Amino acid sequence: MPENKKKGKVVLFLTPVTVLAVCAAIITAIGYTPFRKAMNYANVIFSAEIPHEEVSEIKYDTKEVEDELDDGSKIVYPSFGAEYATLKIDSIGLEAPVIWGDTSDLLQNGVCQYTGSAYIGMTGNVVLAAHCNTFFYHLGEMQPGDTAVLTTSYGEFTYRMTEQTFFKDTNNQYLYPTDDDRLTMYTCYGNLLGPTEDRLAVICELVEKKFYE
Amino acid sequence: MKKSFKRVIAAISAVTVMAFGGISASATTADDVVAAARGAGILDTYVAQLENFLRANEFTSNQYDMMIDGLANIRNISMDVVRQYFPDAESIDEFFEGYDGGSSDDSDSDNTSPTTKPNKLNKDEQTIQDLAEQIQDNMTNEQMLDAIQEVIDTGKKIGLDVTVEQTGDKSFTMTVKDKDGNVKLVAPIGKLVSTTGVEAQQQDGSFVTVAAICASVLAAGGIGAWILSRKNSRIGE
Repeated sequence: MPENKKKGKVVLFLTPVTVLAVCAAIITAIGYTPFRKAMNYANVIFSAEIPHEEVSEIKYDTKEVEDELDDGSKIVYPSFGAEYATLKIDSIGLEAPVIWGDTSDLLQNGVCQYTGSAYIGMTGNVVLAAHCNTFFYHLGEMQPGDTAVLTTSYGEFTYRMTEQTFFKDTNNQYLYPTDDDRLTMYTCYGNLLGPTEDRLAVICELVEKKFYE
Repeated sequence: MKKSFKRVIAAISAVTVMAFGGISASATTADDVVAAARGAGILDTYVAQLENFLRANEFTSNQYDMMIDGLANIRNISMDVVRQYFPDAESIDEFFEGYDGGSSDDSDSDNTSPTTKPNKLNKDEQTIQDLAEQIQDNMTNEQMLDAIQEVIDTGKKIGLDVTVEQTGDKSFTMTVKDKDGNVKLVAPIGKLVSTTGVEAQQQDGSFVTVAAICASVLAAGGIGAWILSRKNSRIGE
């Protein structure tokens, strides 16, 4: 008889615990993704600090190479994954690190530069990308004439916005090298809560090139 | 005495000039590698990647030679594609040999792609960039993999660990590491535009962790329910 009582107590204890655990697991599994998305929205709406997570354990080469351009200006070629510039766009209140390379890991830490584009300060197309819910959330608010300043250890380069355009993620055209000095910045467009093939691009022309002595 | 001294100086100078002249003429440089890449019908954006990589990393003349050998094999793959695309071509070489590697024609410029034109191949009013793009578009997945294999093999020869992961149809990600395992480059091939949406940020380890925890709790719940039902059936007996 006491044995039955003991078993009854065990059942009484285990039943609610088991039910609670199962319910908690189901709710967590179903609610995880909406919660993350809601947090992204909340971060944007309440201007929370931009997520700045640590890069995973990937080891990057940290060696930089100094070089002299044809006109005598000194330039530093960054190693892959290095923060080598700062992008400042006053009109949309952006100041963010620019990283050489555009992997998904690096995109969590700043504005990332496509490695097939021109090094900042060299002639050509400087192509930058960032997430639409973090660093480039306000990119679409830039107006023609707004300025973007890229500051590196070897100089400061000022660009003026000339146009805004839209393209699909299968269209590589805006990432290709150009003969003129330009800055192309792009991010996802149209669906803040999920993957999208649409991209918003802002194209700027170089207006001032200042290499440090 | 003065005359013979002058002769000796002249002879030394001549030998020095010949020696150094000879070296500079034969030593392969990064520019030669870039020219070979252009000659292989590779898209300018990949050539630019290569050029940037060579600028930021030092290699020996011998290593540059190995790179050029690898690019020659890629050129052969490109030529196979050209043969399919332009069956009437008298000579495959004309498509690449006509390219002067840097001149531009502003009249056709649209400021979105390079304006460099080949000297010979203008019957279809195509830029070398257009041709290179067509070559890439018309490459089969196998041909692309062959070209990528060349890059991997060349990387091995010059002491770099090159790995390639297929990310989609004719889309790859190439990772280059040095002998110490440091990442020197991660470069997209095919689809170049980055994934910058919200969803991209959620494919990290935390989702896997939460899924694993949920699965564990559900499994524990299942086991608990089984134990309960067994105990209940015993009590019933």
